Amino acid sequence: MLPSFELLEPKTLRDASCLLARYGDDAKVLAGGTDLFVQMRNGKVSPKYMISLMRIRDLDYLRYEEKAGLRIGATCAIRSLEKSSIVKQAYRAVHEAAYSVGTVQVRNMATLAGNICNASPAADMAPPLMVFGAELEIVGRDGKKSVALENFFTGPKKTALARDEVLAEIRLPDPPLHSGSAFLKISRTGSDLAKINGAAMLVVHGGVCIDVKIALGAVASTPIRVTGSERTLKGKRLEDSLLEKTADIAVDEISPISDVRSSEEYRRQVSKILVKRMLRAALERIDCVPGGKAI
Amino acid sequence: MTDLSVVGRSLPRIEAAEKATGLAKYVADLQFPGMLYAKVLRSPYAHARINRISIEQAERLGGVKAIITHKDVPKVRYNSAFAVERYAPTQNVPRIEDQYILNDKVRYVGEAVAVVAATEEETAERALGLIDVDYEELPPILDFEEAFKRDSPRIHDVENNVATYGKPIVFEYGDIAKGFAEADFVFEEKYKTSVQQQCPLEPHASIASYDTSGILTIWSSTQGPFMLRKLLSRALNMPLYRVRVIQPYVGGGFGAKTEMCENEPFSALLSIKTRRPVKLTYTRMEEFCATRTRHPMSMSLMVGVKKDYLLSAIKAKALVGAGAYASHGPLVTSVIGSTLTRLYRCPNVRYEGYLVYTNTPVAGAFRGYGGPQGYFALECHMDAVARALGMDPLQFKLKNAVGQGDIDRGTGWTITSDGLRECAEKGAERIGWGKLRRQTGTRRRGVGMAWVMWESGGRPHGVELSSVIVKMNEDGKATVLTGCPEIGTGTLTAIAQIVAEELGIRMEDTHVPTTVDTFYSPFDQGISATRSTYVIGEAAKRAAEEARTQLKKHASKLLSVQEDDLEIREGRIYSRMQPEKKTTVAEVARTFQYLSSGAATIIGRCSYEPSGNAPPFAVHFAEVEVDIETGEVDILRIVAAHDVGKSINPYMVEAQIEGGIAQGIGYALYEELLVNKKTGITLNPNFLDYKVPTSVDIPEIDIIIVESNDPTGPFGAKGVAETGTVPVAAAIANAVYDAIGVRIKELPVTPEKIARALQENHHQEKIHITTRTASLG
Amino acid sequence: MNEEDFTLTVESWTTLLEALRSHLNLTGTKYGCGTGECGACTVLVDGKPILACMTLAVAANGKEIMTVEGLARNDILHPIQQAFIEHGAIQCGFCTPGFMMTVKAMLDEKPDPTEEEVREYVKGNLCRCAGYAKIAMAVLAAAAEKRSKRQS
Repeated sequence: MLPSFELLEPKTLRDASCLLARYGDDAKVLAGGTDLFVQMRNGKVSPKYMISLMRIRDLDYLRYEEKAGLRIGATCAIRSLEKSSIVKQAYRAVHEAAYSVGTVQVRNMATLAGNICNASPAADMAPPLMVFGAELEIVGRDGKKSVALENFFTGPKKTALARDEVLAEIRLPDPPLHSGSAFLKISRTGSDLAKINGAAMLVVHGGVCIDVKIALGAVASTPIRVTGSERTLKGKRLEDSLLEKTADIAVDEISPISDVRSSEEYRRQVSKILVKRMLRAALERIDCVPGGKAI
Repeated sequence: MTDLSVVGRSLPRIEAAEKATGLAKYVADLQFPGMLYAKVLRSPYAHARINRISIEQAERLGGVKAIITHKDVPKVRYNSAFAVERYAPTQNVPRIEDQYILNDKVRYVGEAVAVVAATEEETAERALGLIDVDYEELPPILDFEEAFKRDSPRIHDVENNVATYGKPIVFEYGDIAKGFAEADFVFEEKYKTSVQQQCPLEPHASIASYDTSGILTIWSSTQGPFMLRKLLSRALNMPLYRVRVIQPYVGGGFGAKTEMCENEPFSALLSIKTRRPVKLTYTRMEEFCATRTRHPMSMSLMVGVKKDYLLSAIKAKALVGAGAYASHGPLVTSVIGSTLTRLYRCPNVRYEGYLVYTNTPVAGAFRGYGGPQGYFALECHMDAVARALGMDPLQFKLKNAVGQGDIDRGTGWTITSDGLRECAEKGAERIGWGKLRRQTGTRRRGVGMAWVMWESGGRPHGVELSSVIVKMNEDGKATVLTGCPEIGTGTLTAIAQIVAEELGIRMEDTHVPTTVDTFYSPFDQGISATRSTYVIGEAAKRAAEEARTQLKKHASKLLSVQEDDLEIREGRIYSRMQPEKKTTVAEVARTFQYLSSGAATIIGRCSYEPSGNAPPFAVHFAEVEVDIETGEVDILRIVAAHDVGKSINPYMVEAQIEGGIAQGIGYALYEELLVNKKTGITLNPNFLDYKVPTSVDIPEIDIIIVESNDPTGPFGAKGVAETGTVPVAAAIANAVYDAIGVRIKELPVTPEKIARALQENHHQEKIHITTRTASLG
Repeated sequence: MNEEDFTLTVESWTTLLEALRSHLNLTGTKYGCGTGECGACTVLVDGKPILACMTLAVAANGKEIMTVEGLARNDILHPIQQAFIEHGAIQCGFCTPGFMMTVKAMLDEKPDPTEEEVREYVKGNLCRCAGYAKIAMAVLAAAAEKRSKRQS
């Protein structure tokens, strides 16, 4: 049984943010409900007002335009990302992460925007979106603004959203030429939150790493970019020993904890394995990007 | 044996269509007019005295009809486990009655403190928040090894928190000191197992209805309606005949429901108070923290071997975590001990098992009942011993294991059928035992094995009794009445097949009602202890036999033929010598029911206690692949060879094995119920944090059925139910050792443990060895 | 709801599961965990498998819902039901309704799955009795049956 609440179904995002402004901490935004209802049943939250986005029309889109990139609407389900062939082709790590979130039923219900706003440090979607440089479009009572995903998570389950703000759209720029990406996750059974997850995006040309983005999740209070590792690799000629070194540095950038899923010690141990494997997998995929050329 | 026409076939279950259409009703699906809903207020503290409970404000809430606290319960101490009723207490394995329906002292987080009945579930929930309880916190003791120490706070009034009056449960054979003196090699090691939860998909649920005639009717999701009735009548101080238990379909139990987990007495007391039906369904969180679990164990195991590789001594000391109350604990502790005494022909054995209380959720019965714990230690140890001796573990076991003609030390009876060696040999060939495995990159493959010798029911130490009635209808259909619940094991289908075979009618002419009602069904102990096919099946067979005799007697009159000349097949009765003299079962039943003189109904009945206890055997092989960088274990394949005596329904036998293995895999790799080490709060009482294997976590399971045709079971059948689970963890742990040379001796075998062990480069195969130079003469 | 129209009055916090079980007396769909992990409450909404315990009843307003009770037609069992029965894929039966709805959606989307694809698709449905082997076999058999029906 869910605790009681009043359900409000605004017709536009602007109306939604006005309602949020009015009711503040007494209100929660409802999209798929897969995170929110669990928290309500655990007694963690008990909103008086539920502001549902699900009756807002044309908000569940997934659109790709060359040069403009990918735009994902606030009520687009994670399953749509999983099944999209353009996401699989051009944003491989995002596809792999979508595929590993929960189960088919959960992915039919959960929205990408909701998943991001839930801001779990272990969110599977966060690292791949970060390595592709995702930007978030946020709608408030007074207008719109754009925030980089990396600056959006401020703590475990905390985001940069102001009281009246709603996440309206997620944008990914067109993937660079000569790039490849990969997502990896270590978990207990086949359907579980990550002990550790991560994504890497590599741009390589002529055997040299032009650009690299590496993000890890479940090993800090938010998903993080391991920029120290990135600096080790960027601009250098690719060699296996360099990949090893890059992976080793990642261990110093994380601050994992022990929980029911895993231990701090293990997360440290395998973080470098994960980084190494992600980089190798991303490297192997560089030929596959449309318009990309082999090294 | 003559050709069987029904037994031995994989016929669909009799209730499958009802379940497939969603029409099968479980307790939570039942609605009654005027029904109230109950909710339980639970203790937030692991150990506390209740000084005062104020319920006035909650009582005033509109819709609340009754509230019970410890003041409202009969002061009858009991043990909630059904099995306890079946085993006469002995000095060694006593019966510990340490429970009241509600206590004035709480001993684990989640223990019930008050129960509310209201017109709506929401109202009952809200009322919980209005009950004011004054707790006096006491120091909690959360670890069973800590609890065992002399100076630990006491949870019940027993020394060292040992539930069995402060004393261990002991088994002893031969002379243990002499056994070790004779040994040329001694191996000692310590093993530890975790808390697993049964996780039946259907949480515990009951509906109680007390009516003006003074009959208390309980619909319960239970594994033993008659045992529940007995325990309820005791705990409620009500005469047995006034308690009626009806059990509809049950959504899994695995032992968690061979117990009165308080929900039935709660709904009963509330119904008695309100005179209305009261429904109490547990949430999944309550299922995790406030029903039952599997006992965790730590065991020091010491084994002595002579230079001819024969075992000369086995010694073990085990601590077994009971949780807050004893429940099945003493029996489980004794089963752990018996695993050490039965499988191997070791003349000198000593086991000491200490059942220790802790302020944690109560441990009870869970498929295997001490077997998974005991065999994990035993079979990992024997694997280690064999390898340390430079011997193939398979050869070592073949040399030392019991066989046909040996006395089963668990029962004192001779082993009457033995497919153990056939299981081992066939399984070894199927898995490719001894073949080199391909190792690629960071992945290493290995194969492990574990043997198990089990039981079919609880004789001779426990009561084993089932009764079955076969009554013929005048259309030739046989109605089979049994007190056996259908919890998913398929026993009712097996019974139908046995009756059809024995009577000589078609399967579709049997009718086995799937609801047990203690008013109408004959007595049965319920589903537990791998007993149902062996005991209830045989009872059904004999009841059918009696009905068949009556049929033949009447038919012989009808056809003017000698009784022993008659044959019954597919519902037709005919004379062997003069086949033109024939009739049908329907005709005979109808004719004799409507005679104006000499009328009779045909009823066969049997009250059956088995004369023996034929042990089923199993040998499991697991092939795994370990990632040496991440420690992750992938199970590639399990080969499970089972001696079941006779497969009454092969699909159902396989299904039991597959399901058992899945639970064993969970035990081996993923499942561990954790509590906060300071507060005792369960950390993972939900499926997000406690991982039960999913469809992608179970590998190919290759089942080999060996039929040793036991003379004491129906059509040669023995039990199978628990044997699928018992050896799995050991087989997997042994496979991991084979793959990476690291032995994980604590369940679950997690990547964290493997990664740490690999990092520390722990060559754990070098277990503690004392080598004595023995005279070679 | 199973091709019939219903009008219900519910609270805003009533879940679809509660509406099905209490208001419509369709008790085939089960409560197993309440947190979206076990799949026992799986129903189809506009053909997609979702979790009824995590869906508000009002959110399903105006949509096509199918539960296990809607699988059989005029007392003729659906090939999925038939296959589960014949292949010994049902034990206690509690997870069965949820499984069937997931499987129906899968076969509508993917008529010729491999065993691996089946297991991946149904991993959101927990079964504690069966160990999944016979369930996978039943699904493959149902897929084959459906394909042959389409061809004939």
